[in-house]
Amino acid sequence: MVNLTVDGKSVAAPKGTNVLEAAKLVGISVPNFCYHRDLSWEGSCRMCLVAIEGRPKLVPSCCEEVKDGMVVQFERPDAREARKSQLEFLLVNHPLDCPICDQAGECKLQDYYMEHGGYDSKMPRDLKVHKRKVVDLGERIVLDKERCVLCSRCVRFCREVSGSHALQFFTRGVTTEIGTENNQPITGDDYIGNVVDICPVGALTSKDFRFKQRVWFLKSAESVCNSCSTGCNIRVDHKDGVTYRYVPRRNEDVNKSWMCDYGRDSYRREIEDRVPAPMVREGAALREATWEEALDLVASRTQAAGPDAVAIVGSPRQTNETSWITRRYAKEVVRTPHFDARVDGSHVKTALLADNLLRRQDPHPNNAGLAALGIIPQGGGPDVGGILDACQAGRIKVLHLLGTEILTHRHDTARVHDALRKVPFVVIHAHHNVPGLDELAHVVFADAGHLEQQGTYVNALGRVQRAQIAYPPIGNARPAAAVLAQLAARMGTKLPEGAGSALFDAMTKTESAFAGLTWDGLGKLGQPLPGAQPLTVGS
Amino acid sequence: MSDTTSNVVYTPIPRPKSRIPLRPEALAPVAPPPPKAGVVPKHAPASERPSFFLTAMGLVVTIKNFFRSAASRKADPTIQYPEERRQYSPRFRGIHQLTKREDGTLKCVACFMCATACPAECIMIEAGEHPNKKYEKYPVRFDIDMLRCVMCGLCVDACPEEAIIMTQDYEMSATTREQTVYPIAILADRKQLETTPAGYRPRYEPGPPLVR
Repeated sequence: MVNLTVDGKSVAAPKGTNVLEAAKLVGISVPNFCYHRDLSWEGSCRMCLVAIEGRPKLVPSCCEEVKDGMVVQFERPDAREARKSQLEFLLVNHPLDCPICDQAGECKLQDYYMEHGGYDSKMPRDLKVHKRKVVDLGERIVLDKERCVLCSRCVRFCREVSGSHALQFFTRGVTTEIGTENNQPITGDDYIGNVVDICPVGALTSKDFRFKQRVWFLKSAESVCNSCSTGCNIRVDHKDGVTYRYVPRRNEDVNKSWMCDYGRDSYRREIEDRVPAPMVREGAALREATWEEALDLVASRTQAAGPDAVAIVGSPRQTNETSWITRRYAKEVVRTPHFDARVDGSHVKTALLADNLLRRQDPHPNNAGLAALGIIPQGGGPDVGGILDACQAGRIKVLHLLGTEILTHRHDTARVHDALRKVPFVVIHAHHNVPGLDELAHVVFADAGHLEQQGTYVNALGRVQRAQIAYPPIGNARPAAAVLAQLAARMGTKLPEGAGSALFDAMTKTESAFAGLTWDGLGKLGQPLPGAQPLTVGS
Repeated sequence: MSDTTSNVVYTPIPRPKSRIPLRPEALAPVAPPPPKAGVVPKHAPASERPSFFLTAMGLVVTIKNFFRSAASRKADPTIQYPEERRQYSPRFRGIHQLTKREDGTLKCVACFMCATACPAECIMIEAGEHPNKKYEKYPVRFDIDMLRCVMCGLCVDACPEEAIIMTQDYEMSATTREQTVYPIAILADRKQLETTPAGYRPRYEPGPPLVR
């Protein structure tokens, strides 16, 4: 540790940190545009100038490593004046676009402008240097060269993180601008969406989010991306029960500050083509039903079939809590021998990376959690293939699916359809409409999405991470855990019910793999599974 | 940031100070009224007793006005709405209007400032990419729910483009609730705009005439 003082307060900072981070430790927020924790130090914006005793000139704090006995003065008048003047320089050619700029409301330039004053520009509006606006950079990015403050965060991201070198600086002096070669659209960079998040101003805006909503209307919830087994930490921005975007949330152990474009787009799955209410088969079609009706029907059919004729298939997309309730429902309530969750063989790929950064080959968020709960055994045993064989042989009278992956993620769709047709009563917890649902299901339980229920997921590295509730379930949907508890109550057994946090705390008391963890103890960034090595299956 | 090239100075209209001094007794706690026993107290003062003379005096006024208005419409204070209309102040806060640029496009850039400022939350905007890159953003939908609107004019104050102003148009009766949600077609292009003068528009500066 290195000891220094910032504005009279003494700080102990780890060796190798910069003065800006050290100041943050004592609650001093140094303004900056170009500095980013997960990128290299650049020092191009000059907004973080501070005075350091013994140095003749002001020093950019983001590029200055801490040294023992350093005396840093952030609030010295000349440093403050220098920062204010620097902000004025940055605003000289900045267009008055705030009303139409998507960044307004989360713009560093706006924040520092309000903080530092200097409200009247000395620059006549006609003399501003104009650059190209609304430059289309492919499927995701729209560039406005005028709004850029040349902090080079995006350039460094493309160089250091994604490696695509897509964005570069061009020309010199006052006409310096960022862009792509010949303003060509960016292709072949699956992480380019991140440059929108790291752009401190409105120069790079997301084509998908553009003009959809003003950011100050949005509410946020801390969640986990469910598009692969990496489990990137995300912030869900939503309004009135509609999700507008996912933004990566910094977690040094999982995703740093990044997430892939595929995961970023997956918010659409939470709003498009949802199943809003439970449905019951009537003749050739499904009709909407009340929960009472659907639950009564499923409970009576399950009881009538007897334990050996009921098969229950868990889902690697459900939370640990739901999977725990599912296991208890299968083993303690129905007592069926036909219970599995290896729906599509993805559990052997959980740890495998799909690219060189974040994405993994397992498209489900919780195969590792199912393994920790013992639902996916460490070796052998009949898998979903065995259950499908039993279906085809006509031994299964009630098939209860906790998700629709069996219809969407398997390669042998024809066989699955054939097997399901042979089952007289198929119950599916469906989150959104999938091909075959109308034809094959006899009862559809409208399932709450992963933004609509509290819960935890275990990622490929064996880290238990919380997903907070963003808004209540759309329409008349219900979380699967609650549905199973209600079914169990109809069959005369009590299963725990309640919020995800309560279920997690109840689960950790009995599950050895989660022993010692608590919902509050997980914190915003999650905790590794106690005693377990990172999942090694298939790695 | 001020516009240094423009020499038009906007001076706000000074507000007159209230000439009525605040009475100290107005602030004092009010004593509860005495209990009412019967219609008229037995020994009420003469001014409070029912009087045939006072009733007759009132009738005289009524009859005088009856004949006066029968004799001349000019003297009649009643306005024959809708044939006749009252003159309102140029700051009257009537139905909103979305103003246009000289090329006929809406001035509104869908910045949501009005929707943010609106205390009744009656403005619903959906923004889109303008086909003309120069304007970039425009409202695909701009609805004002007139049943929720309280006519406070804060949307006009909030607008950075003078894209929304108020007019002196106040006729907004409707037969269904759906009709009371005014879309762009009504806010920018309704027929009354040709005859109704503009109302509340605090940012107005003398210059090119309002494009309607």
